[in-house]
Amino acid sequence: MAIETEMAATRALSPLERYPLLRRAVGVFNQLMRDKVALAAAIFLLLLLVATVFAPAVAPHDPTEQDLAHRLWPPAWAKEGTRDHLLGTDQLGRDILSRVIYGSRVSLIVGVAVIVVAGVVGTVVGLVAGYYGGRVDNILMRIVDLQTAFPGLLVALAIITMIGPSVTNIIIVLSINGWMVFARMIRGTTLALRGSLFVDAARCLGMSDSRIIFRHMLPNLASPLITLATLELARIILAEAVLSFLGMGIQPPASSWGLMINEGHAYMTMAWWLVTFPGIAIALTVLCVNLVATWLRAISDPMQRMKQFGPRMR
Amino acid sequence: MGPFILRRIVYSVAVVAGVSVFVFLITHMLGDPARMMLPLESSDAEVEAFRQSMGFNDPIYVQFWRFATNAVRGDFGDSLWQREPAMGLVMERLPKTLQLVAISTFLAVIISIPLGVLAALKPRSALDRVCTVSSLVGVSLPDFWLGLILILVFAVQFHLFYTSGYGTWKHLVLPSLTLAARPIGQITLITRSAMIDELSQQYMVTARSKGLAERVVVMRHALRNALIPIVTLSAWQIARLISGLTVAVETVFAWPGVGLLAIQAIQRRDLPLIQADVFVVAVVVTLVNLVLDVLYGLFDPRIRYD
Repeated sequence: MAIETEMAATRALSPLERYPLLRRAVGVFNQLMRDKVALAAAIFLLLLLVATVFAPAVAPHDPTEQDLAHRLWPPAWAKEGTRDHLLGTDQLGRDILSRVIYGSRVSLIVGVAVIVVAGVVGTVVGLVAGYYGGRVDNILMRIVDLQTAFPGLLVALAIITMIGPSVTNIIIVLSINGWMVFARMIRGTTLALRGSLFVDAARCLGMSDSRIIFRHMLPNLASPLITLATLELARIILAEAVLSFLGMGIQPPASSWGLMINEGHAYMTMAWWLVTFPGIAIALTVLCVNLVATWLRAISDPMQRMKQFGPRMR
Repeated sequence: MGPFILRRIVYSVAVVAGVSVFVFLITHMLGDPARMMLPLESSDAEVEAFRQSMGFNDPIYVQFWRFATNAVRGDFGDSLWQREPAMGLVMERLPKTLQLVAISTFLAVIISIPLGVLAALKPRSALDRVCTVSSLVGVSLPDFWLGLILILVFAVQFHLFYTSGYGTWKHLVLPSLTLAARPIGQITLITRSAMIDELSQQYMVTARSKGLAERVVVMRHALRNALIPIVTLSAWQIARLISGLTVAVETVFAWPGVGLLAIQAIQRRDLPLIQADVFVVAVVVTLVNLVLDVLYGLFDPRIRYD
């Protein structure tokens, strides 16, 4: 009888009640609907993602198609502009809008790849250092300290000089540069978690260290990790742009926003649109990522929420 | 305090040594330094002769010993591009970078602390919203691009300042503004959040109930306590600016500092100059961190080192 009632109760559960993860996702979504600025930023990033994936369908022209008869055409709203090239053309007559759309691919691929590599390495190091403590912790954290004192960009440039610029190498160099931010944060949080009851309980049940670390502690680190990853994404998109602008990143004929600014630099005084639009693309993307990160931090931490929006009553 | 400073100095030396060893390793292990430094069309015989003359044929530990003993004396060899000691070239450029960093940090601090305080006094007000959003914009702008846009508007369009170069104050305005954009945003945000924290503390009620003027309450009591995170972030910004953020901005404005020198050295594949540049930057960054750590102990009696 009791079993029957239980089964009846199970049947009565809505999908939301049955899947806690789904419930959480819906909760986050509802909160996003309430914050208009964050919502706008998220929608922009979503549109950008769609444009990046479906670039061939979205872009009006082939980004490498040269049209020497129509070099340095201004944007459509200028006096000599045409509707055919909404944001104008560059020094080789290539369509700027199409190049900006295709350029987003490099920024997003490099950004996401570095987050994954640096995030996984940093998280594992941080978990191990924080969980075991003692000598392991000491050695790992000294390495992290040492790298923090590194002149990061200069060392990155020196490495790229030796191994040559390419998308893979940029991902490697920026990951070397970025893992310790994750390691430091995760270590701190793990240290705090290590003493909590559920970890003691798991240990009493005889669980292995790796099971405790990855199945019990890691899920508790998810929300600070997601926030940090978002913040880092903004930083890495900027770093890729700087490397490409300095000529040490993406190489022609491939293109990225930073490289477009580098190439347009020489023609800047006669054709302002060459450097302006790719720069706006970088700035908008990074701004939206930062807005989403700020919002994520606010919803995951009530103290931050108060600081973000100010105390409700004064 | 004494033992702490001593330990901190030893650690700083270790950091600088670590950076130098790392740069030596990547430049000698990741590729062929001789091939890298010579023009692409050089013949094999030329490369071999060059390799011999530079000592690249010696075992790596012999090369490393030579590098280390010379580096300790500040000798990284002659720059291949300028044909004079690399160290001297870097030291000549260093004050110009420091000048830029000092002015933009000064700008950032005097602009962003008042902004952050004002925003914190009236959270959720229009002023607060404007401050927060514009800070986030400042943090999100690619600095090299901001520099180019400032050149287009203020140098090309209105002829107010020079597009690039070094010399008068007119050369200084645009690069220091460009470099200050990100610190302004970050320091404003941290000032705002630290002030909101302090203003909600109980001692604020005490100060107000003593009948102190609101100005005294805010400036003497709240701001003074909020200064620790603000000073930390500002100093960290200085270290970050020196450690590489100036590279792109100096390139845009042709500002003859260590950042531009690094790019020139890299483009000319001038190994001794690259090593000397990274070494000097690492020393300066480590010094800034060292001074900062020691100053904390003096400023804030709650911080104890043992």
